[in-house]
Amino acid sequence: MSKLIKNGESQNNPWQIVEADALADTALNNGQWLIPAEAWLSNPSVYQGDNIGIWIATDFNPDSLTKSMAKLPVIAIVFGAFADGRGFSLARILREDCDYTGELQAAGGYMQDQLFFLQRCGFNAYCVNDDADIESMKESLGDFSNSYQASTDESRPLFRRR
Amino acid sequence: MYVYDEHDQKLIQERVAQFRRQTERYLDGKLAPEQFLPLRLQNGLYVQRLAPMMRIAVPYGMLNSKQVRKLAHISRYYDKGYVHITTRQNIQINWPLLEEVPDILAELAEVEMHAVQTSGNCIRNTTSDHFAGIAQDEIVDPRPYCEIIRQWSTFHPEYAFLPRKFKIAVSGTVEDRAAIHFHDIGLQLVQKEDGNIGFTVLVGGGLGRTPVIGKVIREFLPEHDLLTYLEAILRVYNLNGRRDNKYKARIKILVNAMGPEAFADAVEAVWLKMQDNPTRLTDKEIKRCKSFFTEPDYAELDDIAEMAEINQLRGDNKAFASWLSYNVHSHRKAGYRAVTLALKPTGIAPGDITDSQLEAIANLADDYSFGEIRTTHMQNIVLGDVRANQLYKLWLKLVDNGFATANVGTLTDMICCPGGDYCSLANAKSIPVAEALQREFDDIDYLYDLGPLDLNISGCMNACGHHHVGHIGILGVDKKGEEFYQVQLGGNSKNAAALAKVLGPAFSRNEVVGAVKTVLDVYLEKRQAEETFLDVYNRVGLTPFKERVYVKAD
Repeated sequence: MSKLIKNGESQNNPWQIVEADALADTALNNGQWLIPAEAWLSNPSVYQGDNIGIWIATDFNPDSLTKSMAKLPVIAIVFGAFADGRGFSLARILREDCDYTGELQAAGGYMQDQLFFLQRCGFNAYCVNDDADIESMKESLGDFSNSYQASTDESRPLFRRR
Repeated sequence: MYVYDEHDQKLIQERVAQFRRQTERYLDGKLAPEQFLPLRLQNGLYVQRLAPMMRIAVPYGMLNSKQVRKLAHISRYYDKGYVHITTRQNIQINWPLLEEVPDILAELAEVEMHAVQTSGNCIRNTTSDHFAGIAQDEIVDPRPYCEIIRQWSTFHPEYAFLPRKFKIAVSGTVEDRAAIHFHDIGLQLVQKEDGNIGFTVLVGGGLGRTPVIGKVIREFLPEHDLLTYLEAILRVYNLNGRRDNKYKARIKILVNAMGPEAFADAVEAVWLKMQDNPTRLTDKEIKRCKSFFTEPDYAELDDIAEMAEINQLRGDNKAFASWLSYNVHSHRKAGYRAVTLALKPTGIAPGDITDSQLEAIANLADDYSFGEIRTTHMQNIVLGDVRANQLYKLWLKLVDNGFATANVGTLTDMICCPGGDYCSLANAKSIPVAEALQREFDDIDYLYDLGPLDLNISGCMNACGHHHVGHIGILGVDKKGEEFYQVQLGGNSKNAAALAKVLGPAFSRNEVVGAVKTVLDVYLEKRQAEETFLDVYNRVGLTPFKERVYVKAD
């Protein structure tokens, strides 16, 4: 997934995911890297800098999401499958409980028709394949003009705005 | 009834447009079938044995006559001219074309209807008591809270891809008619002595393969905390419910695995962070929702005077008298009654009605019941606000339309899933069993003598026919490719919630009616005074029934 939809535009994704078993062999000084959250949590002082973010699998223990993550430039939540809805909750916890304000990428096996919901839960960047239909995806991001519930994007439910 | 404002209307129209685009992408090959699957399910569309099946939402069972006329039109124009009332108060059509579903949704949106989240692993239609707002034993009208839950759960961004489906029921009465012990979340409205309203919260009930009675995790949840607390339950479930095995993915499995106390603690921990956020309900919103469920324009009547002529006719006409006893129900307003339109005449699949019957119902509702119609989880229709002195006139019209079978609450008023005739999940057919039972037990005096009896039939262990909570439950099973039927006894969907126990080895379709007959013979022999079937079962247990049914031939 080399492209990213961000701020309504398609752009190259400068961030590369590093798997746990490749971490030791990756030269983290050059490039922009997303390392496993577990590795970062075990030794945050080693992995510092504007070019280091983390990625989180959807089976990540939500109790391990911390406010210390708020300073990271990028966090990616990697969906194993689109049916795995845990990523939506993890995103909201990062935004609403951990005060995370940086870039939150949706990666992995999510699908286009979840974009509106992903956006509502706090994602603001979406990893896509090179051949993705960007215009169609942008349309899905705007499936609805309003929502009943509060979420990360709108703290007031509709009943407080009616 | 709730009436859409511009926000509700716009959201539902945007949903139609969204699904139209998704269907087009699917038909163009731009959307993979496995990705289209959850999208069509969350718009009510299954692919069944013979054709797609579409489930249309009837929020907490309330319809107006305009909506019922629209359903008649849809069933006639897009389908084969009949619909099916489900055990969760929704309405299904059996033969829509996938290509036309967006048009059907657009037609529904014209009358403030939809098929949102009637299937799929999301929060489903909230169900309630079909006598809500008119029941004499009502503590608080549940419908405003059902509507609040409907809006909160509609397109909820965090909970559209749960481990499994999720069903909520709300009861506002002393006697539970909403089966709250058998829902993922059951909410019992309570009012404290100081007047404060709240809910007793049950979680982890359900039927299906692993039937479980829900556990109380909160004795009193103040009404303003309803949505934040639901958010917290769903958050715990979404993150911790099993996703590796669909048969172990319902919240009941999680609650059992954690234990109800630990589950309640986990919910409380999440809720502490959420309880004061803007999702907390306001007095204004509760008042706004209550404003849609006020009393219709009732006349002030004297009940005895209203019933004088009716009682005279009752003495002259046995069929009318029986109908009054079984299909007409008390009402909180003097001079009014609720009337059940029985949808279980012999030879018709339980809960099925035709397009012209739907139109007749709409007309009857306009003429006799302030234009409102209710669907019941017993798969019948209720006209909720009939003036008592009109009952005879109404009865004559119900007779003409085939709705006057005076069997409500009796054995032949059975719950029955569509079964193997329609459903691709079923192990066995259920409709022919229902029909065989109706034909065997066609002596109405015998049925009345049996007294109140819930007989529930499911064509497979997914239990859409609620067989576990039937006083007599029948479950279709597959034995080496042949249909067999297991009989269960002693279930109860009300406050004294109980799961039925299996009588013994399953029967062939030819044998099952005889087995039920034997069970009833044992009941009648053992019965003392006014004991119901359930009373006798609870007193004598399973053994006397079992011994007689499985007695060895000499």
